[in-house]
Amino acid sequence: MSQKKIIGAVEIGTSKVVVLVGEILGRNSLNIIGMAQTTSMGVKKGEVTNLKSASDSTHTAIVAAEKSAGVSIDSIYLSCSGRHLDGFSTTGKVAVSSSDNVINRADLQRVGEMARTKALPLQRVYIHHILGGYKVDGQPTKNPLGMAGEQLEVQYWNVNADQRKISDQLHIINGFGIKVDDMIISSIASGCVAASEEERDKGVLVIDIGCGTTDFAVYKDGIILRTGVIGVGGDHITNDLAIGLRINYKNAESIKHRFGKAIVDSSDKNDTVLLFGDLTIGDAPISRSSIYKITHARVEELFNIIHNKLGSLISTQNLPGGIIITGGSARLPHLCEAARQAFNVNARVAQNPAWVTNPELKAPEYSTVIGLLQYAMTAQRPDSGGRKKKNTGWFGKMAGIFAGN
Amino acid sequence: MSNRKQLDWRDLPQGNRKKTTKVARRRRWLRVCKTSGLTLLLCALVGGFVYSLYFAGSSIPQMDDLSRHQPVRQVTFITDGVLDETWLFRKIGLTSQTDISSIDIQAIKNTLESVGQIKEASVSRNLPGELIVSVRECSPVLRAVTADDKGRRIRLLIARDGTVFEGINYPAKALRSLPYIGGVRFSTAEDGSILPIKGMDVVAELLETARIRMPEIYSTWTVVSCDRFSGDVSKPDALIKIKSKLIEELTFKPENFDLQIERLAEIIQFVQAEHRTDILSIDLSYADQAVVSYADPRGPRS
Amino acid sequence: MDELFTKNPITKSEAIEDQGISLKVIGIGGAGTNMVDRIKLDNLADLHLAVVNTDRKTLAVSPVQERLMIGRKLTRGLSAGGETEIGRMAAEESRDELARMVTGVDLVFLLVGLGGGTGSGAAPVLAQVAREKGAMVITFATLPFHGEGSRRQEQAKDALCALRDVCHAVITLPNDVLIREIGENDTLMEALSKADGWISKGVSSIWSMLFAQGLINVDFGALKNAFHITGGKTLYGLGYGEGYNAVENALKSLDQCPLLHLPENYASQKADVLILNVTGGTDLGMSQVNRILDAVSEKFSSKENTILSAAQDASMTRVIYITVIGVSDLNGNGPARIRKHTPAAVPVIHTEQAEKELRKARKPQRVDQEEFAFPSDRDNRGLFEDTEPNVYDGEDLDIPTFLRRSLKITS
Repeated sequence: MSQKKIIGAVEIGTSKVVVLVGEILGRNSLNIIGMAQTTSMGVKKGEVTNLKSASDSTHTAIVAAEKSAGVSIDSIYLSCSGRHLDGFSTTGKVAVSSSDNVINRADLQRVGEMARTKALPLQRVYIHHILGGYKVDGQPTKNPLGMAGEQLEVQYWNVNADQRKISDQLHIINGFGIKVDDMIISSIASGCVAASEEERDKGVLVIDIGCGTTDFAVYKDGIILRTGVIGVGGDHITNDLAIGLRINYKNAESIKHRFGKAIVDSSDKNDTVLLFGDLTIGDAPISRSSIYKITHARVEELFNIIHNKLGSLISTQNLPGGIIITGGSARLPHLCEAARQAFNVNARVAQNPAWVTNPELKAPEYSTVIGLLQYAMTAQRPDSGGRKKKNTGWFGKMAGIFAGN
Repeated sequence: MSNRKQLDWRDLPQGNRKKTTKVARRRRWLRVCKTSGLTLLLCALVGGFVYSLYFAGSSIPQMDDLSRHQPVRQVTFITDGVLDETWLFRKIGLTSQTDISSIDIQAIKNTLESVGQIKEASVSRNLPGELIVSVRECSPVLRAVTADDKGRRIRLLIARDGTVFEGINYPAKALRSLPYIGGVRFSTAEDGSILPIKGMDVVAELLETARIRMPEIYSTWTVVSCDRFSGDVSKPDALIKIKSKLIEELTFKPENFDLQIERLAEIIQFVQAEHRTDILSIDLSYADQAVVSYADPRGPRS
Repeated sequence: MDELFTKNPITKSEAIEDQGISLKVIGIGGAGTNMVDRIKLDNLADLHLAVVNTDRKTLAVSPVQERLMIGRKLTRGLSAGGETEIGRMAAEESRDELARMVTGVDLVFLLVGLGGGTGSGAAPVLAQVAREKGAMVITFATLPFHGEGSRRQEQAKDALCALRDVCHAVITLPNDVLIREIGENDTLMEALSKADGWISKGVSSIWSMLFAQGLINVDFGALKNAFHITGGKTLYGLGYGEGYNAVENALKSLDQCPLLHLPENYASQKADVLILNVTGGTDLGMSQVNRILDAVSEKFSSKENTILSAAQDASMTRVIYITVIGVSDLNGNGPARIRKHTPAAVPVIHTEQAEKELRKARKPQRVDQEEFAFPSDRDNRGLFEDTEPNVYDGEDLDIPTFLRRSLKITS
C-alpha cells in the first residue's frame, strides 16, 4: 500500500477558484503538495453565469496548482453548489426473498434501486443518493445484511441538480483536458472536515456560508439526514451594505471586513467609523449601528430560512453536537451568537483538521476544498469501491454511500 | 432501470473536448512539446551514438581540411532594431584579417547578449567566408536618467520586459517622445548590470493604449511614476501615476486600461467643453467613478 | 380618503374666483435667472414670472418680462462676485423694490442656485420680504457640486439654513445627484435641463392642485397650512408611468426618483405632512388615484397627513405623473396635524442655535474634489442585477433584507 497517488480537488466558488493537489501515500496519509487560487469570474451565487470567464479563472488556477505541485493531473474531484441543487427523501420497501428470511445482498440491491430510481423532472440529474438507514420489519438498523426479517426498508436522501448547470461545470473541467472523477456537493464536502466523527454521530448542523451561497447539512448517527443550499452568502451582505450605506462595492466589502458584526451591538451603537479610515479624499463617517443593522438583518434572515427548511430537526435534543459554521463568511464577528439567537442551539466556528499544515488553508473558507480532497482519499482506497465491503470509520461509510449506483 | 441511468450526473457526456481557454491550450501544447522533445532527444542521442561509432575514423580529417586559414570575407548583420555593422565590428573586434575558423562563435554570442539592448543574438558561420550575426533588440517604452558613482548623468532606456539598458544608436528624436520613469529604484546585480524592473509590461500596455486611443494626450505625458506600483497587479493599492504637461497627476489602476482611458477621454472632453484648464489631477483608479481636482476649487462654474 | 374628496370639491372656476390666488415664479441670482428662462411654464395661467439679479448683463438677455436689478449702488450693475455678503447687502438695499415685486402674491416659487453670491445672499432676504407680505414661499434650490470648493459648499449650506428658516418649503436639488442622472454622452446642458424638468414639474403640480380641472383640488388655505412648519426638511419626488400599468410604473419610477434617495432622506422617508398630486390623462379614475394614495401615503406618511389632489390633462392618455412633496419638522416638534380650516400659518419659533448645531453634526466632510459618478445600473438588487431572482417564500432574497423589512438605516 505504499504506492503514491496524485489527486486534485477543484472548487469553483463565487469569490475564488481553489485547486488543491494532494498526494496519497498508503491508506491514510494525505499530503497537500500543491495549491492555487484565482479570483473567480463569471460565477454568481455559486452558479456559473459566464462559461468563458469561469473557464479562464479555473484553468489558470489548475495550471498554477500543477506548477506548484510539480505534477500534472488528469482528473479531479469537483464540488458543486448553487440554488439549483435540491433534495428529497425516498423510501424503498421489499419483502425479503430468501426462504429462510435472511437478508442477502440481492435484497439490499433491490431495495436500494427501488429507492433510488424515482423519476426526475426533465433537465434534472441526480448528484448523490445518500443512504439514510435501513429498517428490518420496522426496526432501524445500520447493517441489515445477514439479519432475519420479512420486510426490508431503506431510506435515501436524493440530491439532484439542474442538468445544464452541471454540464456547464463539467464543460469547464473538460475544457482543460481533464476529467471529473466525482462531484460532491459543497455542504457534504465541508461538513466532513468541519464536524468531527463524534459530532456527526451525536447530531450536528454544519452551515457553510460562502460568498454566493450558504450550504448546510444535518448529520445524525453518522448519517447525512438533510442537505440544502440557499442562494445567499457574503456577497449579499456586501451588496446590502453598498445599497444601504450608498457606497461602492469595493468600499462595502472593506467595511464588512473591518466593522461587520452579525449582531446589533449596543455598546458602540452611536459610534461612527470612517469609510477608508485614512482621512483621504472621499472619506466619510458611517454609523456603526447602520452597519450592524444591515448585517444583522441579513444574517438573521439567512438563519431563519435554514430554520424553516429544517423545521423540527433543529433542537437541542437532535443536535447535541450543536451548529458548526464554516465558509468565508464565518469570519464575521459574533456570527455564532446570531446563530444561537436564531436556532437556540449552541454554535461554534469550524476549524480545519490538524493534518492541514499549511497555515493559509486553516481558514474556514477552505473547508470545502479540503473536504473534497479528504473525500477523494477515501474514494481512492482500493477497497472502497463497492458498498459490499464492510467499511470502517466514517469515511468508509461516505465512500460506500456514494459508490452505489 | 434503463431510464435511471439517464438521470445521474455521471451519465452526462465528459468527452475530452476542445480546450476552451488559452491556458488549457498552452498546457496541452507544452505537454505535446515535452513529449515530442523527449522523444527527439532520445532519437538524437541514439542516432549520434551510432553515427559516432560509424564515422568516427573518417570525419576528423575532413574537419582539418576546413580549418585551414580562411579570412572573413563577408559579415551579414541582421537586426530588428537600430544597431548597425560599424557598432558590431567595434564590439566584437572583427577585422578583415580575422580567421573565420578561429572565431569563437559562442564568445561573440555571449558578448552580444551581454549588451542590455540585445535580447537575443545568434551567430553562425557560412563557410567558406561568411559570418552571419542576427540579433533581436529590446524596444524602449520609457526612459530614465540616473547618475553613476561619480555623479555623471546616465541616460537609460527601459524595455517592455523591464530590461534597463543604455540605448545605443537611437536617434534623439525617437527618444524624445518617450516618457520618463519615476518612483523606481534601480538595483544592480552582482555583475554590475541593472536588474530588470518588474511590471513594465503593464506600464507598456497603458502607454500603448493611451498612444493609440488618444495620441495628443499621450504626447503630453512626461513622467510615469511607479512609486505605488511594484509590478504586482493584484496588490490592492497598486497605482500607476502619470505627470503630464497639462495635468499634474493622472492616476491609473493597473488593470483594464481601455476603460480608464475611455473615461479619461470623456472627462477631458467634458472639462474642455467647460473651458477649464486648471485640472490638477484625475484619479481613474476607482471602479465606478473618477476623481478630478482643480487648481482653483471654486472654478468658473455658476 | 372620502373625507378629503368631499371636503375639497373645488373646480377650477371656483378656485380662481373665490381665492383669487396669484402665483409668481421668481428666479434670483445667475443660476436662478437661467432656470426661470429655461423652464417652460407658458401653459399655466395666472402664473407670473420674474427675475432678480445684481448683474445687468444677465438681466438684459433674459426673455422674462419682469426684471429687477438689485444693489444698484453697491455693485453698479455688476455681479456679486461670489460674495454672499454683497448679495445680501444688494437685496437689503433694494428691499422696497423686492417688496413691491411680491405684494399681492399669494404663493412665491423661488428658484435659486446656491453657492454663488447673489443667489445665496439675496434669496433669504427676498423670501423674508415675501413672507412679511403674507406670501407663501416655496424654494427650489440647486446645491453646488461637491467638488466646487469648500467655500461654495459653505456658502450654499449657510444660505440653505437661512432659507429653511424663512421659507415654507425648501426643495434641494444637489448638482451631484443631477449629474448622476445623465447618460454618459449627455452634456451639462442636458443635465441642467433635467433639473429644470424637476423644478417645472414641481411648480406645475402645485399649480394644478390649485387651478387645474381636477378630480380633487386643494384649497390654498389647506396648502398653506400644510407648509406651516418652517425650517423643516422637504422631501420631493416625482414619478412617471405610462401604458396599461401606468399606476404601477409611476409608483416604481417614484420609488427610484433620485431626489428621494438623497443621503439626508435616507434615514427616514417619512414626512409629517405630505402633499400628493396625481396628474393623469382623461382616463384617470378615482380607483387609480386611490391606489396611488394607498401606496404613497403608506410609504411616506400616513393617510391622515396626506393632502391629495388629482387632475386630468386632456392632452394625455394612459399617462400618470405623481408628485410628492413632504415636509418634516427638523426641530422635533412632533408630527403636525393638518387643521384644515385654520386660516393662517402660525409662525414657529426656532432656537436657531440648536438647529445650526444639528446641521453641523450632519455636515459631510468637505473636499476639494469633484466626483464623476459613472452611471451604473443599480436598482435594489445591486450586484445581482443580472442574475435569476432568488425567490424564497415570495421574497427576492437578492434585495437587501433591511429594505424588505423597511428597517431604518441612519447614515
